[in-house]
Amino acid sequence: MSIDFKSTKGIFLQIAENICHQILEGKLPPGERVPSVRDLAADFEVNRNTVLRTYALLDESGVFENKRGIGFFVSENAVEMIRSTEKKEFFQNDLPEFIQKIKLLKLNENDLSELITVIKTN
Amino acid sequence: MSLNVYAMIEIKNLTFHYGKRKKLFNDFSLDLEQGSIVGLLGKNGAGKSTLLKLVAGLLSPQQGGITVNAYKPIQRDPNFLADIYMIPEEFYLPATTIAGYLKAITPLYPSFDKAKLNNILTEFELSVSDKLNNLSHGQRKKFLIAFALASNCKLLILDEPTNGLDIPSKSLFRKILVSSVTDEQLVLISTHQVKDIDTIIDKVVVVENGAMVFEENVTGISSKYLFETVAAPDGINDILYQEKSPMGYRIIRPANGDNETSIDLELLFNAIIHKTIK
Amino acid sequence: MKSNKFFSLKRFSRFFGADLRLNKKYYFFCFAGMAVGLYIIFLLNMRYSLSENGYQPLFVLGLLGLGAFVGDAFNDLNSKTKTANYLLLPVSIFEKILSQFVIRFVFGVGLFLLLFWVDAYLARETQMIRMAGNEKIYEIAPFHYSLLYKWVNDYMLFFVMICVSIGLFLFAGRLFFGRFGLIKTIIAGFAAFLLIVCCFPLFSYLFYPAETHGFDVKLPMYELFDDINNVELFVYGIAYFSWLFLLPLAYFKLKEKQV
Repeated sequence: MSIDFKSTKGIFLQIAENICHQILEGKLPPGERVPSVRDLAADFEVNRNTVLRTYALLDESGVFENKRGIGFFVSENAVEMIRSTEKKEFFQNDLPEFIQKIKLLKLNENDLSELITVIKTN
Repeated sequence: MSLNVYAMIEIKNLTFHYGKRKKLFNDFSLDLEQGSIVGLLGKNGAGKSTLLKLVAGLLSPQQGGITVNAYKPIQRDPNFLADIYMIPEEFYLPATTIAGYLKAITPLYPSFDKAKLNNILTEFELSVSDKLNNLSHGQRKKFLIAFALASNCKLLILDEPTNGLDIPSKSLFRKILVSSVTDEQLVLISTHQVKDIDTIIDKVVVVENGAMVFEENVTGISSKYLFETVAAPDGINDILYQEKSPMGYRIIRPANGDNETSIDLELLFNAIIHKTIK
Repeated sequence: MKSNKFFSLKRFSRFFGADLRLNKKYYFFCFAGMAVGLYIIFLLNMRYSLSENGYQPLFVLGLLGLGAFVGDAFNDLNSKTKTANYLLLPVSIFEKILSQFVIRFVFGVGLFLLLFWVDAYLARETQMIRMAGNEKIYEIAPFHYSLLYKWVNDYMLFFVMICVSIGLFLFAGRLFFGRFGLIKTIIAGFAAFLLIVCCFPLFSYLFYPAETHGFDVKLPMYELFDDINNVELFVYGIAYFSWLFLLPLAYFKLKEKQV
């Protein structure tokens, strides 16, 4: 696991993103217990308080479920939740930028055939 | 246990000078709590090592008080010494094997955890049969880091711990440090290689000419400042500090509360040294 | 689980063990060197014959060697990095001094006395075997510690105390001088001795100007008690009691050491 510390997002957000991707990729399936703060901090080489902030954020947003006395678990509907927020973010930030670039470079159907096939099979 | 957060290190109105030369520390005060990893930053000769020596009781302040774990360090009470561990920038290790050294010295540290030590030694690729005098400087440093962390002393003082470590070892050092430090411990790390520790610390303390010029928690820093890269600084009117970089300009701006950026500690340090941030 | 801040037997024995363990090679070579050195010196001096009094300079030579070992105490103060390490060891100052005292003084003196006697015996046996076929019989007197009493007889206590005082002076010297402590201690010792010697003509001149010429020394002696005169009291005082001042001074010197 590695994060690009040079990007401007706060580290705890980068870690949250990383965990969300792991959940989407199925590496961290719903219902599974989340790695301990200590282990994750060591993996990312960050302060434990940073991971605590990440976990608080994911708990607040419902991606994690805090089972009292046991710890954090990936909630059952985590995948849908992450997907919907990521979708929202995609339409809000990434897509407009993408469209602008396509306009700028005057790209046509043929240039983006790969993209179109992916969309069709999705 | 986290309820009982108290200042493990209390420095009040400290004055210190070597000999009769001009004062190195003048009316210096600082409180540090347990359960944190503190980065003590400063240029060469700013007084970092001297401050660490004062905290460890190797030097005696001319005026003011230092209290560590409710002891006066300079009195060198063995109970105080058994609960702190310091790795000085230049250190001494006797000519013996790691095993021989451990057999001799670990009985003096009541909370020493041998299993933890063995784990860390394995991660650092050191073996107990290694002779300390045949190891490289970096390996000897790794051994001392392992010893310090396994000692479970309440206060760990690390003076330039990443000096002499290769890149994988620096990464390993961060991993091992964050996973082994407990809420009852305080780790005081002095360094001028800010990048080596920027992600693992909770608190930043900057000293300059014997005075504390900055003290702030990492969460405080990220809620107060934005660290960004821009193509050109023109037109941005709230820049606190800027520095040219290959991608354009690295800038610090006051945060407005909505978003948060990851801290560029090196940039912040330079801003503090150039007195654009206090 | 706090232990006494001045002395705890458990802590001291652990530290003592650590001192022996970490410096075992050094201590071993010191004593091995002493054993071999004494043996060779004995062999050289016993080539033909050796009277009982012939042991006298050899014993003094041995004492000098012992003095060097005692004076090399606290060699953890040789460099700044070693000193920092030594001061940070979680043991009281008293225990640090005691540990060196036991090793340098108790073990040092004990082993020296044993080695001197054993080597004298072995060297004599060696030479007797070598000369067994010779026609002329050479006389090698055997060595006993009772010889010591023969040499100094009435001054035994004084002799022992002078040795102890010089030993303690050498022992504590390192704490005052740090690096190259032994050499500096010896120089300081000579300087102190010279100073005392210089005081005699000076005081003679000051107090008895009429009777003193040039660098003459006028030292009137008078009986203080039944058996003792003022000069004896002065010399005894230094021999018997100087360590009373030296050791506490050394303690505080180490306690206040800074790196």
